[in-house]
Amino acid sequence: MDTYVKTCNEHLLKIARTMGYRVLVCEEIEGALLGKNSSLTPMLIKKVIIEAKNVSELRKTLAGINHKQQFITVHPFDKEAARWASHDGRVDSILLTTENINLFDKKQQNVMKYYSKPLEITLRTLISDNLDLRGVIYRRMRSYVSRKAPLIVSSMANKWYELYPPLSIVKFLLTQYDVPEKIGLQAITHVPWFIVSRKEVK
Amino acid sequence: MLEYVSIVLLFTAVIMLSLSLFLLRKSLRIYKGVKALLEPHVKSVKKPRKRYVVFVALCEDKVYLNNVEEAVKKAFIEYYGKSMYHKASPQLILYDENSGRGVIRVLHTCTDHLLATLGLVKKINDKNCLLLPLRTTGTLKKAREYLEKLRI
Repeated sequence: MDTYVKTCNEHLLKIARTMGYRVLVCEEIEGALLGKNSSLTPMLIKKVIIEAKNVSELRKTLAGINHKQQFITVHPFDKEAARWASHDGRVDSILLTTENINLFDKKQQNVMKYYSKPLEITLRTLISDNLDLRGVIYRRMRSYVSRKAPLIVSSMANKWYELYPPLSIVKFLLTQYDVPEKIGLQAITHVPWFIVSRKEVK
Repeated sequence: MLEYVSIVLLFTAVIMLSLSLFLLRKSLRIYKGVKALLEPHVKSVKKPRKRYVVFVALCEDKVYLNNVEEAVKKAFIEYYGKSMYHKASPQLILYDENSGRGVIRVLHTCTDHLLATLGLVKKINDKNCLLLPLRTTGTLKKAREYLEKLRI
């Protein structure tokens, strides 16, 4: 299961099916694919990413979104917004990127663990060229894993060749970030499925 | 009088027997300790075994054996370093250019590293590509059998 694909098109879906993906959460879905959830293509769900600079902005945006049919991810740029997103039931995951990595301190981790709000990290962030940044991500990941907080790993693929084989993701997390195989596997199967199963998607 | 003497003798025999047993146990322990000290300390070295990873290359255009090998090598060194690459020594031993299927041999302790690397290869010879690991086997024979099964 990939919870963050930028654009979904026919060719990408075909490749995703070959790789073993059953569900794709896409930011943009090509018009012809919307009602085409057959057994031959992966199930498609619309993803909405809310860039929250403050709490009031986040509340306003959340009010106008159908959270029952869409996968809501919050990309916070403010500590308060991050805390608020952690305990809001409409938010499905909180995105960690290179821009907001400093927000995810011990307190934020505890809040997210308490409300079992998954932390979403894209593979683009995990394989970034900046080694110092990767060190920071490593420490954050370790503390999340040690607290047994839910974790989601997605590809943020824009083209078909930017997808990652699921086995490679699990092994990559194991060898580069010391994430146990079980948790790595849960990050691409069990944790996102738990969210998707609550959605009203046909 | 004789009865008293016999009882005393019996008690002393029991005490002597238990004492000798205690000393025997102690001496055995000392013997084991001395034996362990005298033996040379050699760590058990496991025989290096190989694993065969069957994969398929999904590319926009046809790519050749040398190109695939070069791309895997580059990605492996980029993420795990030269020392790990020498240890793992991944070798592309089978590759069918038409179907894009092949087999890579790697050290058994470095299978995870290779599987992760395969997913990280995105370009081969300036062509957009995806390397998809299909199965890991212990023998080349089984890998060949699996490749043949895929052909059918």
